[in-house]
Amino acid sequence: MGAPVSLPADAESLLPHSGRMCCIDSLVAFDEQRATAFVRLVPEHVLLDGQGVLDPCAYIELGAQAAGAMHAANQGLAGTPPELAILAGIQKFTVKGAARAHDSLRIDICLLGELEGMSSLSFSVQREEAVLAEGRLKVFMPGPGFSFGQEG
Amino acid sequence: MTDQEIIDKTNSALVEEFELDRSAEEMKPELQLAEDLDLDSLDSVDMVVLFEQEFGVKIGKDPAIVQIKTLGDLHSYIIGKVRAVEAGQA
Repeated sequence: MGAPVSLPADAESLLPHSGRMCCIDSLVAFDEQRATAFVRLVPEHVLLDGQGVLDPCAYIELGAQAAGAMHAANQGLAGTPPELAILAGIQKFTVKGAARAHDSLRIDICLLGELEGMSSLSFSVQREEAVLAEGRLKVFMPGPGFSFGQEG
Repeated sequence: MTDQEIIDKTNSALVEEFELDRSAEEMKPELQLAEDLDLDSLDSVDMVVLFEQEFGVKIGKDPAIVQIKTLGDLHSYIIGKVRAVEAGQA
């Protein structure tokens, strides 16, 4: 049974990721269409390289985890447990700037469409007013009862 | 917007969005979305987003769009949606 989510919400309470694998800090706003999450890149953040620079592909993980937190928060309000969600694709992904240790990043998510378990979401990662990366995520949610290896 | 203008806009949008290996003029109604254009179920949600943005129609979770097999059927579906908006029904 889910529970209403109070904001800001600790991301680890919304995602299956734990410890360092939870790459965002908090969800600060959400509804069924949009959400905003934040992360401060502490020097030991798992997505930073040895020079303290965020790998460009890591923006996708930040967007995916923010989308997962948005979905879980909405499910919490609906009183249902979180569902399995699979990142099925990335589109129109562009990187416009680098993020480094100690940066605080804002991740915005917008649900563009849903059909038959597949969702299309736009995301952007910003540092203050500068957009560092943006793109679209395609997420597949097979629904309750699905398990890997299941046929049919 | 005439039916032909809707068809032309649909074809151009599909070619551009999905980077199809054919021109908009080569988009014939008898083409199969899956077999001829390689548009599969993973692309369905992107088509929904694309046509909602291009035509200002509401498709939402309409299961009818995943039943569409040919480009001609898709044209008819989009024309129907546009006409419904014009008539104030959607």
